[in-house]
Amino acid sequence: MGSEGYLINEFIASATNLRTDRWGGSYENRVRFPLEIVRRIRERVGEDFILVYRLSMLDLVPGGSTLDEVVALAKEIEAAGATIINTGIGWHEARIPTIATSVPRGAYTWVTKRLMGSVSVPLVTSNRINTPEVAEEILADGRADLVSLARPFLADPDFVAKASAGRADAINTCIGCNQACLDHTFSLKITSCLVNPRACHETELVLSPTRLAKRVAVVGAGPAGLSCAVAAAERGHSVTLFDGAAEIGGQLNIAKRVPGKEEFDETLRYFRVQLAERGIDVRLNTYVSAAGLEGYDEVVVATGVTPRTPGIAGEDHPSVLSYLDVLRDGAPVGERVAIIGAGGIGFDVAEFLTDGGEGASQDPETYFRQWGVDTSYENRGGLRAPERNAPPRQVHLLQRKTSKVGAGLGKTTGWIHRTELKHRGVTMVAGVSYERIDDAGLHVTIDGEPQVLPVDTVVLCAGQEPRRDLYEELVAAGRPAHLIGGADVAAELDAKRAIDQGTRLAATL
Amino acid sequence: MTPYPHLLSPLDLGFTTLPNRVIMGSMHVGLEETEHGFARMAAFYAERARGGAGLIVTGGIAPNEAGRPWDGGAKLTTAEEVAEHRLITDAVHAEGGRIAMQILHFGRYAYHPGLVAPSALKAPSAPSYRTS
Repeated sequence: MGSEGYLINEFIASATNLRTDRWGGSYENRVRFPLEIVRRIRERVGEDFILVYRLSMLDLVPGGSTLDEVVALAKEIEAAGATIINTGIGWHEARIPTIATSVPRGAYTWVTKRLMGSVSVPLVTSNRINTPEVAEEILADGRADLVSLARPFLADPDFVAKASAGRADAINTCIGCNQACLDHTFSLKITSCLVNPRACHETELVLSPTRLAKRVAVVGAGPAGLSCAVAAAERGHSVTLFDGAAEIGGQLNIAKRVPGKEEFDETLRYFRVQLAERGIDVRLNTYVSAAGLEGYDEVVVATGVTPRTPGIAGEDHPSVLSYLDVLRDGAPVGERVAIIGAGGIGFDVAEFLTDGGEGASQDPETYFRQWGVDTSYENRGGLRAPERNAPPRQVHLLQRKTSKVGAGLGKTTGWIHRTELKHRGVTMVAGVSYERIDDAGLHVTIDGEPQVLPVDTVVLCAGQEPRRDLYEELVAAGRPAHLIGGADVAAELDAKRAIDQGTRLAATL
Repeated sequence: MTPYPHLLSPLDLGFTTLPNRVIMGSMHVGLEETEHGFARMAAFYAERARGGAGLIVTGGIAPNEAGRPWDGGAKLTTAEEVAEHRLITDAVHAEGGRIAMQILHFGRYAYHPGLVAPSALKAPSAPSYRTS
């Protein structure tokens, strides 16, 4: 590991190496450490041993390497005995996202391409490569000799086998969320994967074939219901999946509308393929009652959530919308907006409403311009001044809690959302008391000071309530049922918890 | 004819051949410091080898005490630790796979008092963690 700002990288960069001995000072002295490491490892392991060096090709920090230095180092690393050179992008302390879901697919592969032809050992490129199509395009375009995919192997261990079999449509695609991998690592928890809870739990969460095939009804085709239905069918149960909507996905359909969260589309495609292949009887546009669930051996209730109304005076005012009105139904929203509730959904709505429609998460050039990456690589570390268009709306993002706004977001991605909103001029305020909503706008008290936010639209993102009418009906009728997903715990919409719970329940049916 | 001719073409390294162009990149998974974690990682990595990854790279393992991410973080300096790692390599080889161990010295990013770096410069509190 010679990149990401770890020890070897710290020797290479002048900003972190102030030594005056032969390991610091000139460039030649600063690269002595990695070169000696590679040379001596090669001496010890012999010729027939794969030695991969991960080289920081784009530091994204002030005082980082220049392109010339990176190319020179690659040549010397090759001469010192590396078999393969891998790409590292960005130090940990860099303020530019490098692998989050909002980073366009394969966006950083241009960096590796700048080194192609400078060395004769194979070069690996990396970061946000999550489908065989993207990987093939990168290789066909000569941007690298190999591709490195990390998180996609948590999402689907059979990525390569499925690609080889022409079944890319059956791949469970990494959505780049970090919620169960890096967020776990940095909370000292064991890695899992939002879309594949079996990752790193292979010996503990086992979907073994059932000895007794049952008729299983799953009500609700959101992430909890989908994962439960698919896993139960995988085990050999006969599964019927009901949903009142015209399409599967539940809240995932809402999340995927947020710019930078488009990858949820892949999760829905994966589930659609699984439902078809595993012969699951899918009944959409169907509200089912307890009476309609006679004859099933197991009933799983995954009916999700309904938005909570916070009980503020005037919340029926015409200026008030729920997040569903905004994200799902595309309700018109004014130019001055107050968002009540700064949880994950509040942030989603804020990003949705301040997005300039430039499609940054789909277009590397726009993305790099907005975040300040110098793709001409004329500047040290690959940095330049970020350039952003003015946001289409003025947004206040408010919360009752006095803790830092966004404190509950993902450990490794929260800073990205906070930075993005800051760049878009969103005011984030904690410790807000809501007084009332009327024609003048939203009346609040902040730090004991009553004030009016003169907004055109107020969007309620004040949490969810579990939707349990069917479950209660079943219980009243003396019918045992399993309760999963948001219908079980609605506190914060959580696809990771939903998919994990659905899969684990299926393992026990 | 595969739609992924480049992705699925072998790579001859002279002394060995990778079956395709896909490397499974390095990730610390938290099992490195968990009881029976190496047996669980053996199952984890073997499943990825079976699934066709051309070359797997493990999560970072420190080359010495100072290079650990935190006290108790995984390192490879003793025969006992070698034996644990062999569970992984054996399981991956049994599936016909190849695996490289990432040597990772945390330098100034480490969260323990014995950390070392080229110069005594404090790291800014890292806002994020990145991998491939």
